[in-house]
This record gives sequence, structure tokens and C-alpha cells, in this order.
Amino acid sequence: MKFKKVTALIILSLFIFSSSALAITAEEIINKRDDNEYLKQARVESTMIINNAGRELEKKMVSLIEGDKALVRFTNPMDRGTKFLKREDNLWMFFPDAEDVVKLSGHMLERGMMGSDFSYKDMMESEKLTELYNFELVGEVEYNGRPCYKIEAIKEEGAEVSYYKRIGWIDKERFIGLREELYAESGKLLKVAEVTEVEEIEGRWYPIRTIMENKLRENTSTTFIIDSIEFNPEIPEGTFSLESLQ
Amino acid sequence: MLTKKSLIFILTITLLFTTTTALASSYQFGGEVSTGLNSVFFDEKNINSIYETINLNLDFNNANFEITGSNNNGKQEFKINLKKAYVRHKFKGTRVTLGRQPISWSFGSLINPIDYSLGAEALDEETSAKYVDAVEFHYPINWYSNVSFVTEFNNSYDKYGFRARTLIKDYDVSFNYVAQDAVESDINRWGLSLKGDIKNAGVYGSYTNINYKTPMVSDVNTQAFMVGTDESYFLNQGFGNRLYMQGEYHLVEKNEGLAVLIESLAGAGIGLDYRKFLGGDEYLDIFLTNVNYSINDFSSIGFFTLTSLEDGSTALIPNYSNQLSTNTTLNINVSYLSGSETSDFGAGRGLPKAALNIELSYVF
Repeated sequence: MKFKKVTALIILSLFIFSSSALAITAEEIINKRDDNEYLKQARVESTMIINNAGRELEKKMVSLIEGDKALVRFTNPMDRGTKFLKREDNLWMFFPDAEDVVKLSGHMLERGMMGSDFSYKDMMESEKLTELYNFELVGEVEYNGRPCYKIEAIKEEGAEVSYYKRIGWIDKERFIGLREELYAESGKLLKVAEVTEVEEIEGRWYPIRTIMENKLRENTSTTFIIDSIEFNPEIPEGTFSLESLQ
Repeated sequence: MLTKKSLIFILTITLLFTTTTALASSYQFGGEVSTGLNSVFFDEKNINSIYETINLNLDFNNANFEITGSNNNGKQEFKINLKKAYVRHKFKGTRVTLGRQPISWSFGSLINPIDYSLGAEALDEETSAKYVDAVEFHYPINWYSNVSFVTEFNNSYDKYGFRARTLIKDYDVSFNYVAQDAVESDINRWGLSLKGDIKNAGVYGSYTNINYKTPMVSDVNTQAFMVGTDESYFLNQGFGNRLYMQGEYHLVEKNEGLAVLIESLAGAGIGLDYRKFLGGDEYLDIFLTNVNYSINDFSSIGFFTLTSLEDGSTALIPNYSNQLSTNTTLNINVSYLSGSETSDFGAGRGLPKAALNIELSYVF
């Protein structure tokens, strides 16, 4: 009888121990997602398709990204040669006709980049979200046939971010965001990003086709397609400078 | 004896020769074709003309060539304009650009009184004024600071300019100096500009000092002050139309130096005689607005105004733009001068009361 009690106690202890060891926290999920999606350094060739009530515009660009610094050059005929440099909250634009560099006002960072549903901040910033938000695991759900963690993030006090709250659906196996809802402090849904294609590149999963819908606008969406991406390329010193814009 | 023009030509050829290998490695070719209608309305008559233009650009990493051909059916003339033909080299951190090139020192204002060439740019429009035969030396001090020196090759005058630019507490600050010596007059301009943000609004301003010297006749200084702001909003929730607004106030001392700054209005499509502005108050004060409303991702309407606060006369310049496809755009621009003939921005004395431009363009 005594032996049975001890065995039951050991089994119970092992169960509790293994459960707590296997339980994953929201922070750990986000860290694993950041391992895939956060771009410490990258060179990206991409296409942006702006769709509005059946009409489409296509823009192509080459971006160099290093944390909160980015240099973007448009290559499609309409915008060919137009470049943007972002460093922290400063945004600079190069006009190819006049070959002139102008500092854009700060409010432009929140506006759609070249008319798209992605803001300049969305496009030119790779943020480590754990440094900006407090996360909570609110459930485990299935999304588009994939088991996902559902995570809610509220911005940390004092953090300067574009969205007060984010709700993310993160693939349990690949640790990649498949859907994200972005909210204002008022609770209003601002944008929904849906990842429709992911690919394993250089050993990490990365979203290569994302559709962004701005919920403040009707019948519009922007599809962002990664044509090629190189993680941690060698970026020469002085790349993120006004000189590089010209 | 080599003239300046032949010297620049020889240097250009030499540099072109030395960079042939690099040129062959990568280049981009593109251009634009457009057709349009221009109508100018005077009290007595209207002038209409249809035109076609083609613009071709060949861009290498260290050289750029751009040419524009335009055919004006009203004037029965075909013009070819070489916009850019320059080579660029870096020598120990200094970037040297030699040949025909745009020199533009914009900082985001609607009218820029401290630009290298006045009248060169307003409202993101461009005129031929900014394309000059020159050599420019540009030296970056760090990622946000640089100095540049320009000397121009022109038979009518000697002109050189200096610009120093930096970032101070997130404000883009520049000091510009331009000297232009000609037989009839010498003009020296210097000025300071700054641009940054106060909360959500963009703010900017400039101070300009112009010394206008006519041998044996006059030697006057003109001061000009400018402040401006811009802001943008999302309107009409459910549709998310964007509204961009910009306002700018200029205060300019009224004397001969005013002629120099009045030239900067040419970039806004308004050519004016400075003598019209002399008399009355000691300063000319004008207010400009630029409002742009995006109807959707493809089309927008804009409204530019230029108002004399002394007599209330106003130039109204509305515009409509629609990107019909990825490469095709329709633009409609109207300008209308309200006010009496004697007012600052009134029609008459050779100025039309209105003008209309409709243009369809295709880029490739």
C-alpha cells in the first residue's frame, strides 16, 4: 500500500514537472517568432501590388535593412530611382529628377508608403516586438489548417509604436506569424495582415507573401511579395547615410 | 586659349574614357512619353496648343544622360533639350560631378528662396532652370552632414555656390551661399533653413539675405523670412482618404533685391514683374497653401494658392491626377489669377487670367 502511494506521488510529480517544462510562455513564442522574422540585417528584393476595387498598381523595390535603419530604392518605371532612408524616426527621400534629398515630416512615417496599405514604418522597420509589447498567450487555435498559438500584445508603457494592441496567430510548429490584427488604443481594428505563403530560407521560416488590409479603407489591400531575401549580408559601413541616397 | 566650355568638354571626355569599363557593367534605361493640351486665356484671346514630349534616360552608376524632345503643334516647333550629361567620380571621399546636372537645394518648402537656382522648383515640379553646366564637389562629413561646392560654366555670368547641411536635434539645418557676377549686376545670396517636427506637425523656416549690386547705380540688401508647416490626416473613416495640408508665409523686404526672389515664383508657374510689387507697404507678405486630398490609391486632387496679404489678390492652382494604370498617368492643372490688374497677383499687363494643362503620360 505504502509502495503504491510512493509510486503515485512520483508519477504525479513527474507529470507536474514535465507539464511545467513543456508549457511555453507567450514571451518564448514571440522570441522564437523573432528568431525567424526579425531582420538584424537583410537585403530584400520585393514587389508590392496595390489593389483598389479591382484596379492594380505594381511597385518593385530593393531594400537594405539593419534594425531600425533602412534604405529602399524603387525600381519600377513610375518610381524608378526614388529612394528612402529611415534612421530611427527620421525619414529622408531622394527625388531622382532633381537628384535632391529632402527630409520628410515625421507624420509621413505613419502614412501609406507610396500609396500602399503598408506604412513607411511597416515597410522600413524590423522591430523586436518583445522590447515593445507585453504579451499574453490567450489560446491555441487552428488557422488555415495550421495549429497556432493566439497571442495578444499590449504596448509597454512609454514605448513608441504604431499600434497599441496586436493579436497574432503564430504557427506552433514553424513559429511564424500567419495572421495579425493591429488595433488602435480605442480598440478600433486598423489593419489585418494575412500571410498566404511561407518558405524556409537559410534554415528559417519567413513569410514571402503577405496581404495587408487597411480596415479604415474599403475595397483596398496591398500584397507584399518577397522576390528574394538574403539574411545577414555584408552591408558596407556608411550605407545608411544621406550620401547613399544620392 | 581654352574656353571654360571646351575645358569642361575635354575633361568630360577624359573621364568618360576612364570609366568605360565601369559603365559597361550596369545601367538602367527608361523614359516617358506624354501628350497634352495647353490653353492660355487672356481677356482678348485664347491660345491653344497640343504638344508631345519624349524623355529618355540612361543611368549608369557613375554617369547619367537624359534628353527631352518636345513637339509643339501650336508653335510648329520641335525642341531637343539635353537635361543631364554628367560623369561622377569619388576621390578620397569627395564626390565630384562634372557636366550638365541638376543642382537643387530643396528642403521641403513650396518656394525656396535659398535654392541654388531660383524658380527651379516648387510643388515638386521642375523647370529647366535647375539643370546647369557645372562641376560639383560634395564631401560627406558623417551620415547626416555634408558640404558641397558648385561652380557653373556659363557665358553670361560667373556663378558659384556653397552648401553645408547637418542634423541638429532631428532638425535638418542648412547654410547656403550663392554668388552670381554678371556685367549688369552682381547678386550675392546667403541663407539658413531648418526643417523638423513639433509633435505631429512638420515645421520649417528660412532666412535669406540678398545683396544686389548694380555698378555705379545701387547696392542694396534685401531680407526675406519664411515659416511653414505641414500635416496629414486620415479622413472619412471607412474610406480612409488622406488629406495633406501645407501652409507657408513669406515676408520680403521691398526693394531691388525683391526681383531676385520674385523669380522663385516662376517655379509655381507664375511669371511676374517685380516692379509691380514696389510701393505700398515696406514688406511684401504672401501666404501659400498646398492641400492634397487622395480620393483613392490612384487619384488625388490638389489645390495650391498664393495670396498677397497686402491686397488680397490670389493665384489659384487646382490640379487633378489619376494613375490610370501602373505606367500611365493623367494630370489636369489649372491656374487662375484673381484680383484687379493693379493688384499683386491680378491678371492683365501681359499676364493671362487663366491657364489649363491636360497631360497624359506613359513611363517605361
